Amino acid sequence: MDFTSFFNYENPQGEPESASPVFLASLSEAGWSKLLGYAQHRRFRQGETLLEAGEQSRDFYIVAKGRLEALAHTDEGKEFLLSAIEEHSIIGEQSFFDGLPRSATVRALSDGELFRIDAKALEVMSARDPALARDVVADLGRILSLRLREMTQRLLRIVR
Amino acid sequence: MAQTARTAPPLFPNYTQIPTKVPAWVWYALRAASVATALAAAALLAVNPDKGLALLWKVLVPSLPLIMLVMPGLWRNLCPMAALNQVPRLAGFTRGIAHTPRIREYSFVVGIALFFALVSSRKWLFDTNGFASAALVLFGLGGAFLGGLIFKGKSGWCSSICPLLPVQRLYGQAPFAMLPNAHCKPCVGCTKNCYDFNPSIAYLADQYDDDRHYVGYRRLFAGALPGFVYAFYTAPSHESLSTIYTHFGLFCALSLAVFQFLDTFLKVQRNRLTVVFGAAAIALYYWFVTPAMASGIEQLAGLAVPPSVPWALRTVVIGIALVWVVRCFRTERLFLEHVIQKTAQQGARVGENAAEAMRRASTRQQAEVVIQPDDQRIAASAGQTLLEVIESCGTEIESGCRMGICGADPIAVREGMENLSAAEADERSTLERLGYAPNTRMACCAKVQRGRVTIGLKPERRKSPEYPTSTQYDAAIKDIVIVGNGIAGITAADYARRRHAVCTIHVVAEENHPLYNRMAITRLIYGRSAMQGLYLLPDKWYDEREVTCWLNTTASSIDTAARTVTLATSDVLRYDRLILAMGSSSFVPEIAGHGGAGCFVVRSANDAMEIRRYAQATQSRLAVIGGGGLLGLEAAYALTKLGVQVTVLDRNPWLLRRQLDEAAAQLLRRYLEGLGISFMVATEIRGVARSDDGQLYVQLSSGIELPADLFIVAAGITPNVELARACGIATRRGVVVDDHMRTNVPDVYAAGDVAEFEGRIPGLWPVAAEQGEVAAVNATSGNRTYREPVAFTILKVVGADVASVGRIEPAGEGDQVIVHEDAAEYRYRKLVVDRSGRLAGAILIGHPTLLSGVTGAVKAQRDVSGDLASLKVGDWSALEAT
Repeated sequence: MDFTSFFNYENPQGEPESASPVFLASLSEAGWSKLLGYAQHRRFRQGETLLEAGEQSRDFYIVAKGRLEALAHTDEGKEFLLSAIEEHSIIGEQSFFDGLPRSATVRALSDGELFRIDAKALEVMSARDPALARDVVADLGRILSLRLREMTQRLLRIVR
Repeated sequence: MAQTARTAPPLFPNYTQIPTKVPAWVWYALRAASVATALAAAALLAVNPDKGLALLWKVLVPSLPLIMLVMPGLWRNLCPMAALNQVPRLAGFTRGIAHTPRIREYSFVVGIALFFALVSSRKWLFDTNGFASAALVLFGLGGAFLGGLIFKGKSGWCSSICPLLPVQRLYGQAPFAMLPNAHCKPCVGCTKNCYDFNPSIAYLADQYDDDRHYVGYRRLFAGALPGFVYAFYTAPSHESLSTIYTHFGLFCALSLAVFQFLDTFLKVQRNRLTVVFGAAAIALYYWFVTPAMASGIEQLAGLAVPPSVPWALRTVVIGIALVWVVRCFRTERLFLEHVIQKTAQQGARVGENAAEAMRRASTRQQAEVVIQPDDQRIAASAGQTLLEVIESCGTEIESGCRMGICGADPIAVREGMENLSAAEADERSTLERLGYAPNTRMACCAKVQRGRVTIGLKPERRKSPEYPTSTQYDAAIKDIVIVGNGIAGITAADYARRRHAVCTIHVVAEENHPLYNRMAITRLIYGRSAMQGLYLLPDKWYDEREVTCWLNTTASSIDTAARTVTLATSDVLRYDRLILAMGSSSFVPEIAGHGGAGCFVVRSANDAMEIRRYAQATQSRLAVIGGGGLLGLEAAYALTKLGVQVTVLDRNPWLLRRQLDEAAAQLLRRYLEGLGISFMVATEIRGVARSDDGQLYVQLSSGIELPADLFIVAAGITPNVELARACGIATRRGVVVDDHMRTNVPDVYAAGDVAEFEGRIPGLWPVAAEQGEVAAVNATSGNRTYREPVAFTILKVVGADVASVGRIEPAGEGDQVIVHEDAAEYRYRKLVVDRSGRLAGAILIGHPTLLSGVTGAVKAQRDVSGDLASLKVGDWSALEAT
């Protein structure tokens, strides 16, 4: 595990750095509007389960409003918190790529809204707006790659 | 130290976040005193060993573990070794060398080894030898100073090889009182998981490190410690060295063995065992050391300590150790929760421009559709049909004509019917035909207007299975036979029954399916659900209406004189009225060599399912489709979804020649090419050839030969007129009918694709439904004149968003055309307005919000002469759906 955020020797007064990557950081507002035009717009209520671990669906989500939590289950079925999902973050991009069952359950901590982009939306996007679709896929790929890099780093620390 | 006000103090504060009231100069003064004390103790040891040894080993040293447990920061800040270690840095003459990887790895191990070696040597050396003990104190002070001279920060001694470090880290993990590190200003990052930097997490970070060796050294120390302490107090002092060290070795080994055993079998958090062993060690230590402490104080102070004092101290220490265990457990739990959250994949953030875009999308979509049973809440904008909303959310729903006629998408409205647009004639008629509960709507027609609408995707059954029939009927009519089970035939059967409660109604169908959604058959090519969902009528529809349906049955001849239809099964059906609705087949032009394996048409569900079967069986990779009409394009898309590379050929100069103009067709073509479909327009097919190995080639008149595993002809329809022609009913291309759907033979009617009215066979669902109704009304002694519905077509390719309604080209002088094209945004819209200012036709690409409004206005031939100016400049709000 990585504890570097607890031992931020260089800037002990600073808040722990948020290492999360940014999706489509340079996309314009008009570009975003276009992208959201391909998405489904859903609302949710506090306590609602939006994704179920083990479920299969090829889509990813952009949280427009509200907070969610990602939960996993132990083999004995005990639930534990994986991560909190903040407003304006994306979730589910892994299943979007591989179509494999969801690794976590996602539940709403508050009322909110999200946008859902599925494989069909991407298909339409890539035919109508290939540049945008390419950016979406490349950037999602970049984010996954960053995560893979992180995992590789961890693995290296373990085997070293 | 400057403190910033914080609303919530951090769970695991680092040394800058731990509040303190002790000024720096106090620490300097105390440290000077501490060094002086150490030197004085060393001197005392040399000069007066008795007192010195008592002071060191019976008072000072036994106090340390308790301080390290309760207020570890105090010792970290006061330790004379640390004070000397930091002198070179403060004075600016440290060499400040960083650790090499090897030093970093093993310095802690050296500290452990020193601890075990030095403490065990007390038994024969230090406890009794003042000089040796004085040397030991000086060794500690000198080693610390030397380390500070060479290495940077505290890495020369305090955070590396100091023999007390393993003890401090073990017992300092849940301080009862925290004091911030007063040494390091600023932190130079000299060591991994620095205790001085973040005291409450350093030990846990060690325990959960990825490097198992790193973790192992620290666990080894905790595991051996109780045995070591016990050995210390049970070891013989006056035996040979080997006996003493063997004693230590055996007990350490025993302790480690127990630790390892428990570690293997106990399923508890990793740090719990180390904590319990640490607590056991300290409890044992004070159990044994308290009498010695009492005697040391007696010896130094010359007063008698009552025997209750050691007991009291033992009790207090055991109590503190127990509380400490609980505190450590709790800290570990918090640590795990916190760390797992931080370590688990964090959701990537979206770019900053997304916020405003999402806010605007959110304000635009005020209405809401709730889909049961999952209670998915989909935001919708006013004017969207339920079908559009449902499709947008990826939920599976069938769709067909998208105009309320075919009946493919009935849904149940559970709440909020008042927030939907009212049903119009076509939809009402379909709802009556289907006969579901009154809360049923056709999703393609019901537009969300405001508020919330709660729906279920399955329509509900009517409580009393009644259907509307008239008690007034023509008693002379006893038997009605309908040939054909398509939408024309079924609409005719439905209306015949509505208008005549008692006559027999026979429906004879060549196909082996009850009425199904023919407009969706290309889905059978790529979808995995086969016919599921394609059937358009409830299960008991035929029975409830007492309609006898002959599926998979051929009508072989008609005797118009005897008024009988003979079936190929030799059954004979008598009729008083006969309605011909045999539909049409695919039109296949003369193509040399056409036929055989790999050549297909797409007309029926069975055609489509056969294509899917064949494509799988032969692992088809290449397909050529002859015909760029609606069906050809939909089939092309379907095959693409199946992973087949498709080329569409069309003899016309552009695609969808009947539905689109050239500019619109170009836009659509680019979109379809984006989906991976290839096109060749203005192309004639000369023939089909096969190579020796059986590979099919489609030969073009240009000389090009296209290899094809599948060749599908979608070149239009040809009415199934043979049955009618053979019995003398007048036919041209189709069965000729008048505006009452009558053929030239009395009491014989025709409707749908088989019927030719005024030389036209549109081949469209609304036409067939309307003709079926007109035929049935007139066949049951009514009087209804046929008026051809305005043609309306939608291309059912995902995302194509193409609709065409009415007349798409001006018919002559005076007709006006309004066109707006934005190819980059994939948008095209065109209106044709006739000379009287009425809408005659429209093309829409990429304008879903205009779809229902514009098609409704064109069908109603709305007068838009007042809106022409704004329509021309692009303001089409007058046509938006409400």
